[in-house]
Amino acid sequence: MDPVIAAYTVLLAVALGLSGFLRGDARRRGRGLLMAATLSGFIVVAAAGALVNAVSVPDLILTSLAVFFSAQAATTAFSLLWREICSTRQARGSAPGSDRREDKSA
Amino acid sequence: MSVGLQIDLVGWFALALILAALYGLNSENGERSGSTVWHKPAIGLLSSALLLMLVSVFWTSDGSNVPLAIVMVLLGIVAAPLSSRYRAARGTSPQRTVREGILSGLSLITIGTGLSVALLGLTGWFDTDRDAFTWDIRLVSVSSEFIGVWTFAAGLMLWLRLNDYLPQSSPGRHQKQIGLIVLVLAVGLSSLSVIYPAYASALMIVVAVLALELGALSALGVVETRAARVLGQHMGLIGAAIAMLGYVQASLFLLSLGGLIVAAAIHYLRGAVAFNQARRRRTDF
Repeated sequence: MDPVIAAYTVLLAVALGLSGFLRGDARRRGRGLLMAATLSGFIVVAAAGALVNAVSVPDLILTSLAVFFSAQAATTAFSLLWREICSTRQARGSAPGSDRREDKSA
Repeated sequence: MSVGLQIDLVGWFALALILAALYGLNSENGERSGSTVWHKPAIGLLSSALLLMLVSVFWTSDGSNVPLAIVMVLLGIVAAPLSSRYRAARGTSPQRTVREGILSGLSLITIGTGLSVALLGLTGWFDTDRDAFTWDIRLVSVSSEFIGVWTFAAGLMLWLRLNDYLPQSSPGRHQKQIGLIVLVLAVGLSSLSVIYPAYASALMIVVAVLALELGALSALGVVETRAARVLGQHMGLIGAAIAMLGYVQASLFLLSLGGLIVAAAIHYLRGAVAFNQARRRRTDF
């Protein structure tokens, strides 16, 4: 791939993301971190793409381990974001404006 | 490791789904009624985008490694709830326990993604030849190795601290300078291994050790209230690594996704400053 095209795409994506995330609520910034974690769970796609194209045995072992760990991270990220959203809906009535969550993970 | 054009055709749709989901997740203006309706469908959109990308990756391959990949994905999904069981500390308030549970989950995420970034960088290192014209592949594999090991070490140390396996530590006086020196050393050594690939394998080991030390420094040298900030920085680093992997795999989807993650991390880190200013102004009154 052309490095210029790659740099251009990354720059556009950063600009789009920065302008898009500005709309979020400033008091619930923790959710922004959780969204970044969920998006970084998409590395399982890159790992799977490397695994299905691997030919030698060391490559197979390394990339299958990478797929395993990234799938674990992606699942954890999705469950954390899901819990955050469920508790946001519950906490809206009880404590408006606060960043409080229900005590579920303890 | 190049993936054809078809994955990018699907990648556009997945990217559109992700952008719609982020729009839905961000669309909450205070306590206005009915604005949280879009949150659960947004999670559905995100997971369907992930499934779509995985299916398209499996579909475009020749099919010999697909069963192994599916088994590994399923194993990872099964292992996630087992590993993320949080051991609550005794004698703390439930509010604090919930916050530490979330931070512990986030550090588990950084451990997993850091390990997989490091492993992918290692495979890229094995695949590349020592030709002078493939410097970009070497640069990508060295820097993803560095980022992966750093993120893995920082996540591991934070997880150990949050689960009370390590004693509480406070930052020393010279910790920041030492961290800077180690960072400069690692960057210099990795650029050496990119330019002179002859000695590169030995240099890579040194860089990995330095990255481990750097991760330990960046996770141990903070007070525990700033742990979320360290995690945010490492999320941004993982975004950069995903963008570089997208460059290697010639996938515009991964490139733009990495850009989005970097933007989210920058927004998170910049928002901390605004939050401090707001709080300071309130105490002045």
